[in-house]
Amino acid sequence: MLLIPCPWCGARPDSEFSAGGEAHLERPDPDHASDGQWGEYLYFRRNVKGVQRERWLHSHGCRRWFNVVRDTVTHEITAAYPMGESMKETGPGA
Amino acid sequence: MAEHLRARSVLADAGGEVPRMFGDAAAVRLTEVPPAGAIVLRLDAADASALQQAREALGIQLPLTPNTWHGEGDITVLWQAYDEWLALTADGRQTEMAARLTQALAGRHAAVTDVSDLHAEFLIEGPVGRDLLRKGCAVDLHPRVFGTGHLALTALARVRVVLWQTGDAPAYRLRVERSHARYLWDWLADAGGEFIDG
Ligand SMILES: [Zn+2]
Repeated sequence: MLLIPCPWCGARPDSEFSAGGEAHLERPDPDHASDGQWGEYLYFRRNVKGVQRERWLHSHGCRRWFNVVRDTVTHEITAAYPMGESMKETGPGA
Repeated sequence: MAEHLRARSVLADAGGEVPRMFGDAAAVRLTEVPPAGAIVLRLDAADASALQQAREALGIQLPLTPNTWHGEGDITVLWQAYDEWLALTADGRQTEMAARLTQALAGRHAAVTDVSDLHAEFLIEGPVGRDLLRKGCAVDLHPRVFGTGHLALTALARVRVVLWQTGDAPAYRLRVERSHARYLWDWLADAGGEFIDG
């Protein structure tokens, strides 16, 4: 069982959460983005092997989205922080 | 104005007595709690004056600490998220409660929603109540970390529940979406069988 630290509810089993993929994606302006840029935004992810920032939803708890810093090889989670908090405040991780 | 519609027991169609009971007080007893009035309140907890208005309208403080609840008189307020609370009152009082909150929070970034039809509520009490819940719930309910006044939004037997402890005996209340209530009642009765004589 993987324990995921919800920033509000505390550590809970992964079965209470839904994964939301890579975090901190920047949405291009749809009026000015090329088809290529829009396609990149919608469909392409870095698929990091190692420390990754990703989004999780506490779907069986407080039903809020937040960010997690997780090593995709070891599953070790080193940080969890609310949406809107900058990457700099929460240490290393791609 | 329309007459208030009385909510029905969610287990009534299953036959037998209403409210339904299972087990015994010496080990663990389940009871279906009569339907309550329920309001979801959403507001920005960083807005001290909005909190104050809500407190005056409800006559009771909103719990700001995650995973806690607070009750006074016939009103119980359950923490749901950093910007959301579930307020319970006697069935029939919710319309007036919602109106008071709506008026108090007019013009603010807030929402008041009557969700009295959303849940069924069960009471679980008796010395082995904790052991019974542990069979289907991954949250640590040990009295060292979870006691009277605590609450968890979590999964029990794979369905979403609001679980809060109301007494040290221990006693718990549990709210579950109505469409899952019959399943959860049957699961609890089945899981509780091993603790009950006869
Ligand atoms: Zn949570």
